[in-house]
Amino acid sequence: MLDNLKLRWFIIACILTSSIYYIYPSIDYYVMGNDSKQKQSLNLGLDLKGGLNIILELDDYLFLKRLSKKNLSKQSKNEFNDILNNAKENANKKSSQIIKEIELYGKSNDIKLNKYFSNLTKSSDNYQVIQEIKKQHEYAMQSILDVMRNRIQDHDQYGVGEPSIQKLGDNRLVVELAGVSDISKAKKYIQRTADFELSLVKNQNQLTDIINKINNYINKNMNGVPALDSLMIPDQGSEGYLVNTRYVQEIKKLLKTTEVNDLIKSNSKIVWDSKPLSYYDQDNQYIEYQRLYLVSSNPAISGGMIQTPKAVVSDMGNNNAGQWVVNLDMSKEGRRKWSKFTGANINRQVAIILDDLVFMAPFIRDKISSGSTQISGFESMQEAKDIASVLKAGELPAPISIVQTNYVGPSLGEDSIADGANSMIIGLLLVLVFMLLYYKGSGIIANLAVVFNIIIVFAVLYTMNAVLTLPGIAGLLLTIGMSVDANVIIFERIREEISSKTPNYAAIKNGYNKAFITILDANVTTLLTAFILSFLGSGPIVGFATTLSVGILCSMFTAIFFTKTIFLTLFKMNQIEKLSI
Amino acid sequence: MINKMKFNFVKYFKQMFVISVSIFTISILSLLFIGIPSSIDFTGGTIINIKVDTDINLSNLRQALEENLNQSVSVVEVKSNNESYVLLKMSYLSDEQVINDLLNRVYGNSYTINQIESIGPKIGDELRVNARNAIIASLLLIGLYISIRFDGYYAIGSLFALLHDVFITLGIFVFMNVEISISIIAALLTIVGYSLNDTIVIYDRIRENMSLNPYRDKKKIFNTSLNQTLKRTLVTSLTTLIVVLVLYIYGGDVLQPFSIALIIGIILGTYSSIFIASPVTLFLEEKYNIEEEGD
Repeated sequence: MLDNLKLRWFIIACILTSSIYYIYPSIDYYVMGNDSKQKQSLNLGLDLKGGLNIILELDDYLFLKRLSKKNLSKQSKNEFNDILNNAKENANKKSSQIIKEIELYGKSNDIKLNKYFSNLTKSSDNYQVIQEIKKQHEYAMQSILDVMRNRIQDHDQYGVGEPSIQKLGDNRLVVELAGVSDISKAKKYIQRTADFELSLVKNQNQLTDIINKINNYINKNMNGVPALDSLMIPDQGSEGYLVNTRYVQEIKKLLKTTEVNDLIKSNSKIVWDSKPLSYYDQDNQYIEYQRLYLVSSNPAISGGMIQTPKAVVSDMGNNNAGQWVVNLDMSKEGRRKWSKFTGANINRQVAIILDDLVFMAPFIRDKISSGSTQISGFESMQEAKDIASVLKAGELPAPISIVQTNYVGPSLGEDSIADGANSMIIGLLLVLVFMLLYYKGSGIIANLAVVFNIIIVFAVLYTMNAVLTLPGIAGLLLTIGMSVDANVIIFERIREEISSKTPNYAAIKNGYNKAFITILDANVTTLLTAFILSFLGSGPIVGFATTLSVGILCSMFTAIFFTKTIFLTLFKMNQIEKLSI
Repeated sequence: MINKMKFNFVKYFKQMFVISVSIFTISILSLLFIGIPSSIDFTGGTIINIKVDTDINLSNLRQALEENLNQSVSVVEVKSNNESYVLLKMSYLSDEQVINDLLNRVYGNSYTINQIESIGPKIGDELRVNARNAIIASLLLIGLYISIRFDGYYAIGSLFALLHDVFITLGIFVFMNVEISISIIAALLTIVGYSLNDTIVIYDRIRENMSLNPYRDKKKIFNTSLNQTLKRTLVTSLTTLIVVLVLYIYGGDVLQPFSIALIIGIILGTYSSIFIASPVTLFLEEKYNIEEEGD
């Protein structure tokens, strides 16, 4: 061990000053209330500052469906759906990944996956196909991460308060927003796929044809289900049909069944209005209708071709004057396509679709050669703004779903801060008093070590960019209780040495030397368990594991190096005789 | 200054061991036959903590929630120190809008959502596997570390002590009606670390004394070592217990189950390093390590 006292004190001084340098802003911010120091302060966890933490998962099932070859024959499509459903089921059962299950399924049933993914690779080797799928999966995750960052940082509410967006494992993302009050709205915003398309609305008679086909099918195969045309009426003002809101859920469910879905040609799809229309009928009765359209599933313009979406209040002299609208422009390619498309479809309707909901469906009156477009029909300013920013951030490559939510309200957070601070202060004081009473003079030295340890731990947590959680405070407090142990071991050793008539100086030296290996052994085991804990789940427990391990590591320095320096200094100054142990 | 306390621990090894084994057996049996419920951490589900300013009729609220959600919902009012809140517990709900709408209809603006914890069933499954792996990994790593630093007999002794601590803590939980959650698993692993820390300090002393007096009777060596470390064992347990008790009293509802687990575990861990780990190691040393005695 180092015997040069000057060097020892120099090391201690360096560590102490740098630690104080790192934690001073936090004290200034949290204790003195100096807001300008927030950025340089130790971050609090969600459980203390309040906010929303959600885990999002890329929907592998829908991702693969989108990734697969578009123009599969009906038979191959059914085969592929079977494979996919089977893999999904197995993945759920074994809690593994769908892609892995497809690989296994392909192997055990000798299926050439290339048939469904020839758009990805020319190779007929299943291994190559799976590798390519995995690569695309990785790209998709990266792009979700980027889109999500843009989406949240751009937002006027979620963007403030240092949001955090991080990847978690293969197909997950953790999003943490501070100070969110409307949880459902935030979730909806985050989950939007932002799938934007401008698609031609098919003529009403084509929709009528399909409705008739479905009616035939219902008549033949489904008992007790009312015919569709009894539930809906053709819209006079558009190419769509109107459905009383009472029947909407029922019809949506019916349209989702595979048999009915098969009756709709693959070049078209049914989409619904984003919000209902309300009327007062002849008898002054309030009625709500939901409109549906048949649109081309080949959009004229899609998300990649739009630029600079912006939410503004519409100008005067306009249909939507005074309403919130989203203005957007198109890329060069988009403008060319749009001009050609509008020229060819004069007097037809075009639907502006976002995430499979129609926001508006204007009639094309002229060929439009500029790319500027306006979307209206929003419920509120916030919705217009949200949609502008999701369009700006770009679309997600596949839908994502929320698999975990953690929300802590502001008042609960404040309570927890108070609880944490109280336990910390009371626990610390009690330990300090106990050590002082029990070990007297040496107790002061041990207590200095404990306080020094806390200062270093906070500084290390800050430099690690760790967040302080309530379990983290518990971990710190536990460290205080346990780190005293090192000094207890040393002091008891020194007492023994003194009682066996070893001279004081040698007693101290022997005490430290003999105790060192014991302390090391004992701390390694606690560190091992703390290390394993840090792999267990996410969030608060990780905070506990972090402070516990940092605390134990730092306590090795303060309880051994620091206290020994004090003992040796006192000895040199001939004060050691006065020291009671 | 040295304390002249001297206990004959070894004399009581047998009696204490019998008592411990019976408590251990009762714990295992109650775990098997009564069992411990899992929290939503492992089953998946949604817990919403709300504070309502007006009077509430819990059974009406439950009925309304069950009708709207089409599933059974548990509604419990919790009164702590000076506040009371209502916990709604149900299976996983990916969007809480329904609940918000309903509460809004019933209570208007006089309610606040304190907390939402919602864990999808898939995440729950994963956490369960993770927790199991963490426990197995920690036991293996610790066994390995002790076998390397000491020897197999010490490793076996400390593993016995760990099993004793963990299962009796769980056994006590059965009767206290505590749910197993991630934070309880964290507490159990911390107990493992603490108990081992305690055991190792004693082992270290035993090993030191054995090498100092290789010919002395092992029983005597064990007893001396236990006495030499007793003060330290008690002081450390006391300081650790102080902080954990403070956590229990002042740490709020969130940390309560966690601190209860730690209080029980620290007491058990202190006891087990004296009365489980040491007797088992002594027994094995005496029975199988005879030849080496003459070294």
